[in-house]
Amino acid sequence: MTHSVVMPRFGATMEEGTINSWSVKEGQTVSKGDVLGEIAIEKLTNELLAEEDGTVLKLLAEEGATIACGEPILIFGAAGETLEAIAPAPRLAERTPLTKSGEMDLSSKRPSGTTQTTRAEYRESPQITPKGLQLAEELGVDYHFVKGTGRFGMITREDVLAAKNAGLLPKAGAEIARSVASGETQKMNMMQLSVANAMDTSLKSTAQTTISMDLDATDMVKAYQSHKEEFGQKGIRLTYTAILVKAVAAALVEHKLLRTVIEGTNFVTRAEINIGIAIDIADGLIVPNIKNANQKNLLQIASELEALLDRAKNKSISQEEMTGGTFTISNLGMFGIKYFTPILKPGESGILGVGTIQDVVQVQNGGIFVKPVLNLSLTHDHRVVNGAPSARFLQTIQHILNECESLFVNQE
Amino acid sequence: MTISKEHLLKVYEDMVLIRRFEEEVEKYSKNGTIPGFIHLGVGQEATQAGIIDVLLKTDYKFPDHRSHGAIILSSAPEDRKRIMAELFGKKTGINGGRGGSMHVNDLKVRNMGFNAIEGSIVVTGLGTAFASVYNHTQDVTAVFMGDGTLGEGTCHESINMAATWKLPLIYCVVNNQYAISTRFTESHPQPQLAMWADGYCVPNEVVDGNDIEAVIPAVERAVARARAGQGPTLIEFMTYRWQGHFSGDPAAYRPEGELERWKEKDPIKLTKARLLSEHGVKERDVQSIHARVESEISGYIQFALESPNPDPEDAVKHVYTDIEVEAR
Amino acid sequence: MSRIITFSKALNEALQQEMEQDEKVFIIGEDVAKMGGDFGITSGIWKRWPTRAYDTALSESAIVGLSCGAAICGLRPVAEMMFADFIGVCYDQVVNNAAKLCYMYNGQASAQLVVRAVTGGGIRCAYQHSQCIEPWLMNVPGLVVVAPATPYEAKGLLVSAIRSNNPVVFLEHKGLYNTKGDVPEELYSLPLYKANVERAGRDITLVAGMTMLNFAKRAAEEMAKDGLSCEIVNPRTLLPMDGETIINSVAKTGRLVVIQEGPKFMGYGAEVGSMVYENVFEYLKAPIRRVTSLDTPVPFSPVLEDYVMPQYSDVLKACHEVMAF
Repeated sequence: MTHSVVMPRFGATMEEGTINSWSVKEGQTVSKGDVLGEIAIEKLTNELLAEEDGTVLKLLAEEGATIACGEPILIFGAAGETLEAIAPAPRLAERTPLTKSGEMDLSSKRPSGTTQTTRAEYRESPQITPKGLQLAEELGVDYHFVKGTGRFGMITREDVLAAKNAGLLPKAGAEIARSVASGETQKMNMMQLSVANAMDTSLKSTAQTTISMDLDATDMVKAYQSHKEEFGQKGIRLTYTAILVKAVAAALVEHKLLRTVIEGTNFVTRAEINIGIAIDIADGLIVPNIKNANQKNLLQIASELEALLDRAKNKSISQEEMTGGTFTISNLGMFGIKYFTPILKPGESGILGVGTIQDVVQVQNGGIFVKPVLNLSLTHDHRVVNGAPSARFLQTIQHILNECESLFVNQE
Repeated sequence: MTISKEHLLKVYEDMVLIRRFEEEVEKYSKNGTIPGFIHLGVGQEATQAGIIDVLLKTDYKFPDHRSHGAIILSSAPEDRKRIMAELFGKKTGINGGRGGSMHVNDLKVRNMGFNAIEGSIVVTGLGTAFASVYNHTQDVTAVFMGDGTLGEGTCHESINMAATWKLPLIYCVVNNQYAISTRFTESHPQPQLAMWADGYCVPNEVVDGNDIEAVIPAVERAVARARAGQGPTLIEFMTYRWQGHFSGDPAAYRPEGELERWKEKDPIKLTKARLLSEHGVKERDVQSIHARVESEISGYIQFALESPNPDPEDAVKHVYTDIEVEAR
Repeated sequence: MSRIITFSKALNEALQQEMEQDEKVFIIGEDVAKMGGDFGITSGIWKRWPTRAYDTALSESAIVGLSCGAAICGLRPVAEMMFADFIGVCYDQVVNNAAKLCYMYNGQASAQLVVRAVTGGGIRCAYQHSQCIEPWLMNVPGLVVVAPATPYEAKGLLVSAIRSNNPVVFLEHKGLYNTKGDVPEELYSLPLYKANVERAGRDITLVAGMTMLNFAKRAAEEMAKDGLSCEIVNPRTLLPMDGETIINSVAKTGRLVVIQEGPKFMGYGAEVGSMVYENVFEYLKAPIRRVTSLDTPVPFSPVLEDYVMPQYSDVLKACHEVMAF
């Protein structure tokens, strides 16, 4: 009902009018046709009339003010209405998101690691063109050292290309020492904030500790070699991680404590065996899980794992996949890591860190053998499961993997 | 009124020059040397020669597309070969080759050039006439028009304004019977186009366009009126073009025998006859005129053939007076 | 010294002060002499110089044709088209005659005329009295097309137009006639072929002229409340256009919104967009946006006309779109 009354245009060429006098007060009730005020246009005076019954809520201009036609001069409301704070037009930020910073933008077009321009940030002299930056990212080069020949000295695509072709540009890693001198501030995105919090919470609220073992991987390696091609022909990549998921899932059936958590003053054992996989992505870490891994055959697990890895890269993991995990596997073997102390995922009591497989020399029965050995590190929550049961869990995994072939049955 | 023997000999030579110019241009157009369209005025020599004979160098002349003759005669003799070069599209052309047959202009003799939109020069001519009045000079403006041109609205706007303001303008309506294929009687209600000027209170007369001794006095009358500030005049010159509208037009729209009848009234033949019979000129004197013209014309042709082409980058010059347009 | 006068008065001053300086300048058109012009722009001139102000019949072709002839003879005609739409009647004289004279004469003579044309909509005068016609002319080399936005520009640019030796179509938006602004009393000129950066900014380039300049200014103020700064470029001369100023501005901001009255298709916004894409594509952070009238004739009823004209809300929308890309 509340609306403004604007300076009327009393003639085709009228641009503005002066309010000679108001005939009403704020809060006054008026009827249709009442005189609200006197408007002067050059030498003529016109009366401003109320177009309906109602209340004069607020006078926006003082007597003697000159206002352009179309600009509000008075706020009018229904009879008896009072002026509540008239909500100003929603500020831009609430209406439309101006930039995507601050959201977990899984489909961001911006190359990772770039500082997003927010409303408050001000770039005095933009140094590189958007396309130049895109190319620099694609080529994996550090543009800070490229001379800009574009307008305003900006670095263009051609400048980036020219520098690359001349071999002048260092690979990003080698120049870290120099680039560190300039420093960098980067606002954390939602995912990064969430991971940071989780790590903090986990360490503060559990009594986690880690035990490690060298698992004899002879049988596992044999089984992997013999089934690799068969999986490949079905369009699925068989990995050690997939085998471990199946083995761990099987072991968890028996070892309930590793899937038990404390809630309040209760031990709660989880029925589902959902194995989480820690996946390293461009600007952080996500842990989606494979549901009911104990009920799936290796084909399914391997295929799901591959799909998860793909989708993690494209940032299209679903919420469902991210929640409900029972136990997590974290594999740093590809980096040559042997033992490490993975941190429990909040809500879980065990996480298995997987290191490299390497051939080692072992003495057995007086003889010297070369065996492939897989380093395992198990972090467990000592409040729920002690060292011994955790060690037994690892032994079960060893036993399962000593008969690795058995994991490959029931694949139809 | 008759004109003197000397004068007649002079204009006879003018007409022969036009005739030979047009015939050579036709030859070089048909063999592909001259690019584009050519509109020949063979048969209309008396009209063109007569008008230019009366006008001064300081008078504004707007030739139309069929006025090579008027263009040649209004230029200085040493510039005439450059007009042939212009038709050939050469660098030495009087406009650098950028205009060709339809747009030859030479401001130093106040040949204002033609705008190929019919009727356009009829209003531009208003401006030069207006300028004479504004600048208090005696210069008159002569605009060449055809029977076809009179269809254009600009002609009506022009004569209306010229008559109201008494501008020194001479409308030279060269009625050669046909626009392209349309006889003027099929497109205009007036039996004589000169009558059209009556509606604007503009004095007008119809003249035998092939009799130079009729053309010259008529133009002199119109020029005198204009210089005296009495306003515009319209002269309708009845004549005929021997070729089609453009060189190559077979002109099948003409009835049988019409061309032959008009060839009987060849302005050059008529004037020669008079020179011989009424002025005691000898055949050999006439022949020496023809010889002189021949040598001039071959000089033009040779000059044009030997001249270089323009530099392509010249195309971007003079679009504006003060801005350069980028060349390729 | 400056004072506040209307756009109309500024034009009148330009004419009178220039006519005082140069006796070759004369005015010609329908009702320009005794009546002082349908919009009063030439008032007072005939009284001062009765032999330099001419009322004609309704003969647009003759008006411009005469101006061409007189110009080649060294005079400086200032012809009036009572409504820019009427240039349709004498379009031939403008594009086929005036535009080509200097070229035809190889620079030996010039078509130094001005055709003042009253342009633009918003006054409820419908189809043939409301058009923005600059696209009809901008494709014709040899013409100059000028479009002032303020009284200050009106006077300065008209003086330059009169002094120019090129044929100038001088577009006066009728919606600006009664607008007021600061105009120096003395005779001055503003350069042709030069755009004006009305406001410097970092985030978006707004290209706007004539009445659309106000839209741009309002939008810039609103965007500023949210910490965004708009750069406003007013072309002033539409042909030949100062592309370099616009291109540089977009290189800096990376975003372009063109605000032009008149249909979108082949409006001058299309040329501005092409220039930007061709020259500084890699500096762009968002596609360009054009805010224009609808592609229709201009209707009469206020509701209909207002619907067709460019919408201010579309300007803000376009700004948000380019920021959010």
